Amino acid sequence: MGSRYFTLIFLLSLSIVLKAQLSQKNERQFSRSYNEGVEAVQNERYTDAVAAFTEALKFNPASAKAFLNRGRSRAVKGSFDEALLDIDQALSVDPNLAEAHFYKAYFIFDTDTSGLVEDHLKTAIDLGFEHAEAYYFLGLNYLNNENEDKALINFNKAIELKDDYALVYHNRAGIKRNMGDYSGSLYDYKASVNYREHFPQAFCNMGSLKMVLGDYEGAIEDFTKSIEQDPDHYLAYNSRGYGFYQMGELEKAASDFKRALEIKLDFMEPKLNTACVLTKEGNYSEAIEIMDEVILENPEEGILYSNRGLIKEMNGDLIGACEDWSKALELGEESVEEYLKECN
Amino acid sequence: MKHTIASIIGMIILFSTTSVDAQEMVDIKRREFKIKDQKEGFKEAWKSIKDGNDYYEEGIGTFHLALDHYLFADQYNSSNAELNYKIGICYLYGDDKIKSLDYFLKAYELKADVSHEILLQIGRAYHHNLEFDKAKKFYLQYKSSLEMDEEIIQLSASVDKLIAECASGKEIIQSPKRVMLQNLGENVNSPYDDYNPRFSYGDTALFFTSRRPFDKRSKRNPVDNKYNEDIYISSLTDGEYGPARRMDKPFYTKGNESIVGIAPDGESVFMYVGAKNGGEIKRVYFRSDKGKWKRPKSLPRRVRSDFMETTTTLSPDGSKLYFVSANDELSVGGKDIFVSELNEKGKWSEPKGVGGVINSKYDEEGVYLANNGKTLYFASKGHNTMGGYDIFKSDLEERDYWGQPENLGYPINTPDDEVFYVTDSSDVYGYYSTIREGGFGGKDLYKVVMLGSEKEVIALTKNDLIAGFEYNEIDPFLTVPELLQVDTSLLVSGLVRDTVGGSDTVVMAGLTFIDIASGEIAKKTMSGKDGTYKVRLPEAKTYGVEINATGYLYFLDILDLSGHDTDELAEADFYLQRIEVGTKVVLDNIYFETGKSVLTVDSYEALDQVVQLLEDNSSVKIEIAGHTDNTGSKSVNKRLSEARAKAVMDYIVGRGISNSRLEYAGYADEQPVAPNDTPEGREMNRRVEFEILSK
Repeated sequence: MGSRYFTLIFLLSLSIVLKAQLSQKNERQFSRSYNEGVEAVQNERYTDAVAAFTEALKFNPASAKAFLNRGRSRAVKGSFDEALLDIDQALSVDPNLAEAHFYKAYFIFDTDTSGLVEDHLKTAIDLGFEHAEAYYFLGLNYLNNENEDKALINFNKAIELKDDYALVYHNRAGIKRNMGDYSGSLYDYKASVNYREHFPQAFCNMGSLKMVLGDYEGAIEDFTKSIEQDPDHYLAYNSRGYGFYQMGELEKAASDFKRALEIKLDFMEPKLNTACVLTKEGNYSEAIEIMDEVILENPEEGILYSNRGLIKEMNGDLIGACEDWSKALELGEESVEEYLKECN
Repeated sequence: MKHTIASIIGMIILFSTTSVDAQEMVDIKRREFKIKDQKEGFKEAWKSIKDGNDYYEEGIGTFHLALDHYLFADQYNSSNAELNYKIGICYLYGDDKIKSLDYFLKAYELKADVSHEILLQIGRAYHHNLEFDKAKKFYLQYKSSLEMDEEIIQLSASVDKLIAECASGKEIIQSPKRVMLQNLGENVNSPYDDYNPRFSYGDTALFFTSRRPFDKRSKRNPVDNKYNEDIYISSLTDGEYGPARRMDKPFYTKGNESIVGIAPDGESVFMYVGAKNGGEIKRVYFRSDKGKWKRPKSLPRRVRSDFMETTTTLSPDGSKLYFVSANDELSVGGKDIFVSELNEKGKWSEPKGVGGVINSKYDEEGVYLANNGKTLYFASKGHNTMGGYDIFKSDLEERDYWGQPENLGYPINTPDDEVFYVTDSSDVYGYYSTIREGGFGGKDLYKVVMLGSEKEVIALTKNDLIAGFEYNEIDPFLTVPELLQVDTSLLVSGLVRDTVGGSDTVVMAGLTFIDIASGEIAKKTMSGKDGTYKVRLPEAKTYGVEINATGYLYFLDILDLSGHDTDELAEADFYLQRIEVGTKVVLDNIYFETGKSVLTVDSYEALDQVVQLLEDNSSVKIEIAGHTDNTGSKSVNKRLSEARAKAVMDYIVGRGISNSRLEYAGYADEQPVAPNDTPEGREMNRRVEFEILSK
């Protein structure tokens, strides 16, 4: 009996030893493969990195970091769906992996409608992921949900962490503009293009701000710069045309509006603006024709009815003008109330 | 030329300011007209003057023909004061009034007394040119030139009126109305005066008065030499006017007639019919059963007077009749606007003035009530007219109380006469007659579009203030992953054996594994009683192994594990030599300064092994022997080898070993262990060793 007991103990111990030896072996092999993956990442060999992390996971299927890094490697290669699956796996293994929360948010940013982006980003930050990008995305998320106050807070933080973050400066500029802080907005736009030379959107928006400030010449320079950087920037063409229009350079304005429409056929603003140019030139009939077309395409835009009414009035059709102004008022365009006083 | 009130009176004659002004006849003298030494062209020019004079004397109606001839003559001699004056008069009483100024100024310059009225005419010309300050200046000059008698006093009062109009005009043109005047076109207007528009019920047709000749038999009115007034109608379909045609009986007479009002229900119209006594308004009913108009009927006795009634308008409900009358028994001054109400019995009340704020001490004319029943349009020579008749409007504020008249402003009103302002059924657009550049000739009918204040269409920009991101902009490896610490350790096990006992003899010993590369101790362990040891070394590399055991000489060796699979167990047995008397051990790694007996620091490690041995085996005694090769002096070698042996002993003693356990000796080359005839042999002979003396 005693010898059996001891035999049993011996065999049990042996198995434990053998098992320990085996998991130690797996751990070693896991580490080696994992490190191969890391070296591959460091040398930008992402295909090799994916293979190495995959190998590592065979030895340790519960490695959150292996999932995370494989996911990130896949993301570099453009396989975002697979990357997301890996991130999800990482999180299921280790819900406190800060980086995984960040990348989860990053990968679902465009498709999330249920607030998960905000949750994951906040969690990442709470878990110590102090990177400018996290604050940037959180701010961007708030901005997309029209919460400018919170967006601003996060953009400020992002810039604290990374003071050459052009995207952040740009978006913060937009918020400041909406808040009426024009000088602050202009500063940020300048910073954004300073840190990122090729930024047509920023040049365009900076030009737009300058127009608000009455600096049409400066604005036109910026729009031109935007167009140089992106020859298909229809917003810049339209805005530059608007600048020319305000300065009375109608031919240049018309040319820019035309170009904007060539790039984007269903762009309402340059069509409307073309009608404005024609109106300035006294070509009311043609202007009205264009407005008819624009209204057909955008029947719920009160400003269009208001404008068409103005053109009709200038053309002597006061009854037609009054009808349009009434419609504009129905659609919420309160500015026509003054015009309607002309109508019986 | 004096105008004969007894002539058949037409509508326009009644309101025309210009027709009642006296005009001084100015003669162009032949000898003054002819240019000395310039015969050529004189004959034709003088004939033109005579022809022009003929037309001029016929009256305003042919002034335009006189003008053509005078302008031809002017080409021959443009410096004749009288000719310039008459050209000015033709312009002033025609359509292009503003052109009269240059000619009057020239006439005045050539001859200051070309006419008693030159100053007045210049004033009027400036007036029509909207240069009110200059007009006033000349009016004042004219006024001061008058010699006072009763007729002149009245004329002076007229000049004062003109000056007052200048003041009004100056103020009015400071705030021009934003208005569009659209000529109704050639289907309606003619080269002659067209005026007094009225829309039919439902705006299906436009009635108006025209002084165009219908045919060659058309007669001119002797008062102004213009053709008589006839009523015309133009159909109106989708905003387009059809060609105007003269209306037949009962709307046509041999004299003057004009539509002056239309009942809101469209069942009757009011027409003015000119007569020797001044004319009257008659009502013409339409018989829908027969599809024709009945004979015109005079207005009820109560409404009409022995004086002239000219224009009329009915309220929308037909209960009030507004009309203009020259009834000076009731008027405030000149022609006034009156109102008569229809009672429940269908009788019209006695007319009464429409109110002091409407009727001025000057003539009112062209009354029209808008379709809303609350806005009254009329013409007046009073109030703040800027010249002649101006159009005014008044809004009904309380029952039967009309608010302060408002001048419709410039450019609707001008220093010329503006009368007969009406609206269409919408009441949005107005219509009236006026003389404008680009018209067809004479007064033309225009549509008035009140545009309100200046406005601008709004151009739009569009912004995209939010910059998103491209997925390749954000580095998926914001943080570079760190390398894991890989377990590179290697398990080594084996036995420590006794060289003498072979595999059956085991030894308990202390093993020290030293990392050769770093010189650091990697691991220490002990073998068990059964002689086995097991140790996990950090890596599979080369280690130095030191083994110490009681009763045994210390063991030093190299264990090369590099390349060994760390997943596999490495085995290494070690064999120790017992301490036996007579056993000799060469001390490797002992170094002396060249030719000296001073130990270098590098020697200490090896000597410490000896110290350890002696500590572990406390009863062991040793002799430390120094040896040399056979080169050099034997005595020197002897002394050196001895000294070196002593140096070693001194070190060991210095490490705490009792010197009673130590002996030293120098043997020079007496005990070679290898031949001295080779460098390798000589090196081997140059040694320090110790021998176990006792244990």
